Amino acid sequence: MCRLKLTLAALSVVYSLAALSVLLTSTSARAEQQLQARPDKCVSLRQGQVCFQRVRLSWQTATAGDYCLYVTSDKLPLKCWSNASSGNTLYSFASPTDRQFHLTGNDSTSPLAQVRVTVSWVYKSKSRRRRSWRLF
Amino acid sequence: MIQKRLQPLLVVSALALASTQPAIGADISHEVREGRTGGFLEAGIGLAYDRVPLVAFVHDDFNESDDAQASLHIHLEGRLEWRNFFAETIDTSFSDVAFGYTAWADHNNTVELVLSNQFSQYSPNEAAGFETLDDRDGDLTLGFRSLHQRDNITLQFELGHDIADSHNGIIAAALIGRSWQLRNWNAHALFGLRHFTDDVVDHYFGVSQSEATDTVAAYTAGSGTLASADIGAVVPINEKWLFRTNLTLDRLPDSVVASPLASGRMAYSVSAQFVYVF
Repeated sequence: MCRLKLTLAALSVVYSLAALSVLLTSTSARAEQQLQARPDKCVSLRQGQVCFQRVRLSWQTATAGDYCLYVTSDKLPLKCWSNASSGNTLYSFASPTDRQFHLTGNDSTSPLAQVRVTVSWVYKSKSRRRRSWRLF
Repeated sequence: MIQKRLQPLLVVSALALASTQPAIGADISHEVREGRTGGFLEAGIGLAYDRVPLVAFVHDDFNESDDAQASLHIHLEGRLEWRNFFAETIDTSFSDVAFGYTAWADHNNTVELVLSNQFSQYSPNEAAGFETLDDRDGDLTLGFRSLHQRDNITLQFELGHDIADSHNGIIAAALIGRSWQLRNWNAHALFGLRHFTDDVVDHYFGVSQSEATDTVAAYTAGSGTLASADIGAVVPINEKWLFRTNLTLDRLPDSVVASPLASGRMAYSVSAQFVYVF
């Protein structure tokens, strides 16, 4: 009876370690496909103004292959690489709103990694006011 | 620029509660520089290089009053809005402080009833050789200000009458400004004419018979028009900090230049400052 308990406990530990290993492998795989933007923020004076920023986009993957970098709203890629496991490009950001970028593999349309460059501002824009006469 | 001797702190405590309620307005010097921003509060520090060729404005010595002077500049600027009422202090505005009521407004135009000062107290007797002159009281003008905006061009008209029994004169102004965005820099140019009736000019720059001495002649000033030009640029450093630079030129009216209290015609100020936006 005691031996059976020990066996079950050992099996439980082995199972837990296996599960942890799978989890770590999965996380590692995700982490191996990285896309970064530096800087990842652009600041304009007023809300709604076009914000300008030179952004360095860099990526790396676990395996070499054919990859393309996209502005998510565009159909054409910003740049493509062949048989590469990393790359970077300088992008002239000019937008009044946030913009998202993603990396895809040649054999897949779904993004392998994504990054967002955010736009913020110093002065919030005013809302439209109704016309009014108000003399006390 | 020439009216700026001290930045009054009267509205500081009120502006600490500055509303973020969107609205239209604020003096053109802020509107054309930063755009339509409603209530706001800013504080900063910078360097300024000023020349004001008037006795005791920058230098106590008359012979040096023509010289420019560098100084550390503390910047405080803001506008508080509550319903249609407002209080504002704009660093580059002619007025130190303005209180008012927005009588009418749409997206591109405002008409405001404004109570403000055009001139602070002026004490030419602080300069050696001018001790016989009296202090000139600051004024308090009540009038209207209208602001009109189309695309990147802003127009402002002002009309005010002294109600503090200081000079009892009338001041009228027309200003036009334009702004440009050059990448993340926002540049502006502002040109204005400000007319003072003879009561105003004579109150500050006239010399009465009782004040006159062997070296300071009596002088009665007529009306005059001050021409001003202002160019500058501002760039955000992050969401809270700005860097701002400015050049202001003032061409004094003939009736001021002819006064014994003036030593030249052109006044200017060059400044650069870091500003925190609350």
